[in-house]
Amino acid sequence: MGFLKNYTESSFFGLLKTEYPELIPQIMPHPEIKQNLVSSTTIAAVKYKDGVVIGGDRRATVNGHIVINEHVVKVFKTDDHSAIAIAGTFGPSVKMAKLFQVELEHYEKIEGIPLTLEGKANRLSQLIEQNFPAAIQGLPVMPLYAGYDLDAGHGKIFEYDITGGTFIKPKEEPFSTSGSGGDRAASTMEHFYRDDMNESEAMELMIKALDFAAKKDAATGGTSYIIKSVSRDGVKSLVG
Amino acid sequence: MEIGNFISPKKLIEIKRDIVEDALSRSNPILAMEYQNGILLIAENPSYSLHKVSEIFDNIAFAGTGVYNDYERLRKAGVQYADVKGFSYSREDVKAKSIASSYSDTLGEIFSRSNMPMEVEIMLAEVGETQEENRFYYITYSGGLIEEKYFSIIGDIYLDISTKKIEKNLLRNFLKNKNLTGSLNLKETFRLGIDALNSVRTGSKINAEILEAAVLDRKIPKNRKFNRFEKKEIIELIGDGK
Repeated sequence: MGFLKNYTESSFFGLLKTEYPELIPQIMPHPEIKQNLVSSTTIAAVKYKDGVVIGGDRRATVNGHIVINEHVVKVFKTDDHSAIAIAGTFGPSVKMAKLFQVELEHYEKIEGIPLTLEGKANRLSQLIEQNFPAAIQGLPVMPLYAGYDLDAGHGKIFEYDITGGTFIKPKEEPFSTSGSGGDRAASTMEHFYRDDMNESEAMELMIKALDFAAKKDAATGGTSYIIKSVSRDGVKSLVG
Repeated sequence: MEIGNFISPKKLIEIKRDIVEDALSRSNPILAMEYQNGILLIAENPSYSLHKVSEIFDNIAFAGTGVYNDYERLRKAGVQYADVKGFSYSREDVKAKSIASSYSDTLGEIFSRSNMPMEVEIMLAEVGETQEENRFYYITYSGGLIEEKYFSIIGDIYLDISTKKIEKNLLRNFLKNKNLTGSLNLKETFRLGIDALNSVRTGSKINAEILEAAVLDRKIPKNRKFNRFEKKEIIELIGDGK
């Protein structure tokens, strides 16, 4: 029967794989194509008293220096208590962010309760792992994921490598940066970070970090930034 | 079917109908009604976690009554259909009408082809940006698809008296407030729903413990307009008016 599917589990990605394989993003570059498709960028996340601020610039580049767009969006709300910032190849990254959003919503609707924050972060890790064959051919997806853990009562930041390896930022290093301007953003964070910051102070720090990155990194910039905060009250747009 | 035990198609359908209607006559009614900000859904359901009313997509809610595993399977299929459609086209392309017609196809097919039809009755409610764009679809166990206006009722309808009583009572109340159709606030609409349910109950009056309720509220400032009420919110809504 067409409407009733054999797939009865709670994962949207699983549903696509079983019932709609044609909808799964599967771009695979030719091994001999040497064009560097990775869009360099700066994205960052930093914890504050009541949650996490996550942000990024809006420039998309090819080969690291040809600007093709100044208005792209790299930070997305993924559900009521989490947001993702993407670095890597633009197309696959945006598709993965969208797939991840639906994955979380689908799970919540099928099961009647949302995943825990760890559960969400693990799902994202599995999606990134799926992309590994494309990643080693030059189409990586390397997001930062920030969420508010309602059970633990504080914000958390998750880093990923191209194999899907997950790393939860510890108390000692309450911020994370990624992309070609990431190093400069990280130095800024390291220098100015305070553990008693409120939301607007964390936002100021984020702007400062992105400004410093944009100054030296040609691939970072664009019209303005996109900055969101994730807290117990939900996901809020601060800039952009 | 063995030769020599021939049953005419007409008889076969009658047998299937009897099976389903018997099961459904023991199911509880579910109401969906328009109010100021959208659509309110109320179900009699003593369970805390086995829901009869739930979210399908942004502005579309599902209600099912009858045999749990049957309507649960249909609910999941609806969520899958909606999410795949929203993912591959856009969120705005997901419409209750196309989901309802898929339900209708599926139930019709199962009823005519299978020896064991699904013992369910289901409803889809869709809240629009204006009241005129609200939609109610009610799908019977044999695949009948009916569009309704202002409100919709499923479950318990084959107990001859209660059916008509529920429908009539609500209808009367709605007509009485004709100028207010859909203009009542949440609390008033809830009250009206409870009164309607009470009017057909033979036993004790309805209380919050056996109620499940949710809204599709167009004022919710995000895509997903579905909001399920906690038991304590239901108690608040019912107020102390016993």
